[in-house]
Amino acid sequence: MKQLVVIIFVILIGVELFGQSVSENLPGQVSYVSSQNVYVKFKSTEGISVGDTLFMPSQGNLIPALKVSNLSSSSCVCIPLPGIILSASDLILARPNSQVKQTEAITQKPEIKVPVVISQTDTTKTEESKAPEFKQRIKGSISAYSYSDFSNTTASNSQRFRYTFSLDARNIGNSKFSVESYISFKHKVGEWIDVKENIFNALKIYTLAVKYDLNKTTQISAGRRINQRLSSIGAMDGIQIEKNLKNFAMGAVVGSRPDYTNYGFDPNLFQYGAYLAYNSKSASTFTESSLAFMQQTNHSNTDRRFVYLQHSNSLLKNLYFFGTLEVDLYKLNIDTINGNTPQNTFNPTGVFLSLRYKLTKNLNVSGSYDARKNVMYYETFKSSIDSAFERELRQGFRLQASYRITRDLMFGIQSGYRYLKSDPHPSKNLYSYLTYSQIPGVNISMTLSATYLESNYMNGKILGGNLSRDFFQGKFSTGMGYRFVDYRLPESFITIKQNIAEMNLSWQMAKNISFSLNYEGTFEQQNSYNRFYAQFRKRF
Amino acid sequence: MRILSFLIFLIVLFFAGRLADSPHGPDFKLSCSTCHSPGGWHLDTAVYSFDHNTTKFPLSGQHNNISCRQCHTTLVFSQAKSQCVDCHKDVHEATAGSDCLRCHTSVSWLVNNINEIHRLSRFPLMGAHRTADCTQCHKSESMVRFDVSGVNCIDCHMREFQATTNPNHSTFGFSQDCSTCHPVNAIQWAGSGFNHNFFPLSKAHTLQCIDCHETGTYSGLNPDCAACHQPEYNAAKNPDHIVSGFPNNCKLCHSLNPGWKPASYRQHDNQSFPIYSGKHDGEWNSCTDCHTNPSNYKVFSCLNCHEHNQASMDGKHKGEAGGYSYNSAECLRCHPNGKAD
Repeated sequence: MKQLVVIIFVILIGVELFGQSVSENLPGQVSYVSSQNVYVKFKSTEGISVGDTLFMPSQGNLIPALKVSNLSSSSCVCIPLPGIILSASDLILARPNSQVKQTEAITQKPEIKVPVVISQTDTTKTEESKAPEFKQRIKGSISAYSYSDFSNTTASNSQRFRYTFSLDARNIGNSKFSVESYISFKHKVGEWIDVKENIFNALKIYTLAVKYDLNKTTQISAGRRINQRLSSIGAMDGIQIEKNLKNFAMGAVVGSRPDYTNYGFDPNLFQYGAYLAYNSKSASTFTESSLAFMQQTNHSNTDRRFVYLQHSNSLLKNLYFFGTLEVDLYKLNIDTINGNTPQNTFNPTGVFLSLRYKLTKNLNVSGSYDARKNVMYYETFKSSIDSAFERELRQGFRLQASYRITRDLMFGIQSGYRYLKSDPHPSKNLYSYLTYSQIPGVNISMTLSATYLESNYMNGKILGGNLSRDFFQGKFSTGMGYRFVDYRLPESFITIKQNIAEMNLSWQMAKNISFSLNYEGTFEQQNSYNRFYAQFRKRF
Repeated sequence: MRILSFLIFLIVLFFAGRLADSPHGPDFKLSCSTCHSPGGWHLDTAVYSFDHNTTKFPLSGQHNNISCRQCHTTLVFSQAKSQCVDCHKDVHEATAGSDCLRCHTSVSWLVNNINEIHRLSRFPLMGAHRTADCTQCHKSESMVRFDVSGVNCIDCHMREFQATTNPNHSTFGFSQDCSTCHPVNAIQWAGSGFNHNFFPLSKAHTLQCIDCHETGTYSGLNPDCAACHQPEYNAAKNPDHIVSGFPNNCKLCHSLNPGWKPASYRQHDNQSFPIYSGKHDGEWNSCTDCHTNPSNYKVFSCLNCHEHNQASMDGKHKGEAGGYSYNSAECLRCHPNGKAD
């Protein structure tokens, strides 16, 4: 039986290594030279071991050239011996060990004959097999923004600063704990008193939460966090738990919503909810759906109750659909004489549907429809309940098409329509552009555009052109543009002509450090407006 | 039994080795050498030659600089998601749509096209609106939620409307459409920010507010000429406007030039007889050339200019159907355009 095992094993290995042969001097070729290693490709590395010396022919002799530090079934990773300089395609010769030695090795250590390829991969696989259940991954960024607006008018110039800190530290120290945060601080020069009055006028915490992985499929978090499955609700303070079961995910949230005046913490705004999500994916299609229910209160009184449905799919090739529906389930009938009466209702407050389709290789079309009412918190905003526009439905359509005429020439058109019942007129716009990428010789991209718009109080035509160019392999990008604007305000019998100059540059100072600067100057007959915006960002 | 287990182990390893050649999924078709070198299965940036622009998600801006793993969380690269919200949390609470590129670029989160965004919205920015902070209009506790905003002036400026005392907008019942007097491109409410273009205050109308708004009433004033100028209309004797049946819309004949002159009455062509066009254009100097009685412009004469002889006209029109009479009214009846035919 023991012999049978050896025979079977040898057969297996023999099949695996079929076609390979061992000779006295096994020829190979340098395939790649890095700063530290030389890679040598052989027909087979059978008989070569880590630590072996490889040779290079020179004037009829073999000179020791490389020491094998790693190897796969067909390649060796080698360290060049002192004084040896090799380049790709150079001939290398190995002196394989004897067949007997190989057999011994196989017999003694059958595991090294597992037909995986490179020993580094072995290491990786070993590491993976021994890898902790949760692996630490940390990313984040700090950013500083500057917004400068100044004009020659009597309007006061302004200088604002904004700083943001973002951190996503998953499984810190390979533990089950994670931390995420997104915080911004914004202030205006000369208005520091607002910050001193209440720090939360400037400090906005969108996410600051600790997460714990109960196991691979269950996570629980505490703190303030935006749940992507409940994005319309925004940040939530409290506990959130999610359990994943194959294609399903279910979760629950309990806590409070941020203070509605300054985004601080307010335990009086207690809320809770639950959601169920389903994802499926095949090679070419996917669907993602989620349904959420939320109950929000203020001092224990129902403020809002609603359901939120989100669905996206790509059921047809080149087609992408995304839609959301938000429906209020609670209404408070205001009656100052007889008292308010709560009522169950089914009142859609927000619909968003978008469809994107790549008709042909060069033609893309997309469209979207959205209808949205402002959210009514019956307890929180009693004072503004009667504000008419806050209860009205704002509807909008957006259609786009782009066609790639040639490899570098692209034409696109976009139109929009938006209307709120109290608007004097619907707002309409039509925008078209023609872009030529990488004009030969100068490598400049050029875009010409035209816009026609009608809004509530004005009509306008805008013609523009824009040039942009990258330098240093995209590390430094610049752009400049000009627009001519012709506005007419029929109600006021006024015509306004504007010349607008735009400039921007972005500089990737290092892999993780970027800087961008934008300028826009608007020049009217008498007035001029200038705007400088800048951002500095460091990722880690 | 140990031997059998060992055998099974070996067989499994053998087939696993065959089947697990690629961790990138069954549909992965790229050559290993696109990313790997003989040095190992780790990504070798020295040999990496994959063009991400051939995928459905061409890399641009900051996406060029991040680690592959930030999007490709598994080695099956096709599982990477491509929608903005898959990687970027929506701090706008779904009030700005799902397409981040409408406002942001892949280079920076900095919104550098604020004016462009507003041009394609319901409220293009002009004047003081152009220099305002975003949060002055888009008020929210998080500062980044964009609720549906009203675009009527009063939706934002009710406080200013109610606080204004000179004149008191509330008391005098001013229109809540501020743009009637304060154009949307104005920088300030008063001075150059005040616009009376709906009733131009120029030339003869260069007046003080009190001249028209005598009682301090700033709304409901009748902008018709006669509301102020009826006395002048009544007193006009050359011609007598009342007797002549002139309309009391002064603008029809008069400009804003002081003294009511020059005056014209171009409606004459359509209402009675073409004198600003046709054969009579430029053939007269004064209204009284035809209207021989200044106190009654209903009276006119053709014969003052056309020196006809009645006998000869009688002969010329003899036998014509429709009747004929030698007087100016009959001339007009048969020659309403002033032509001989």
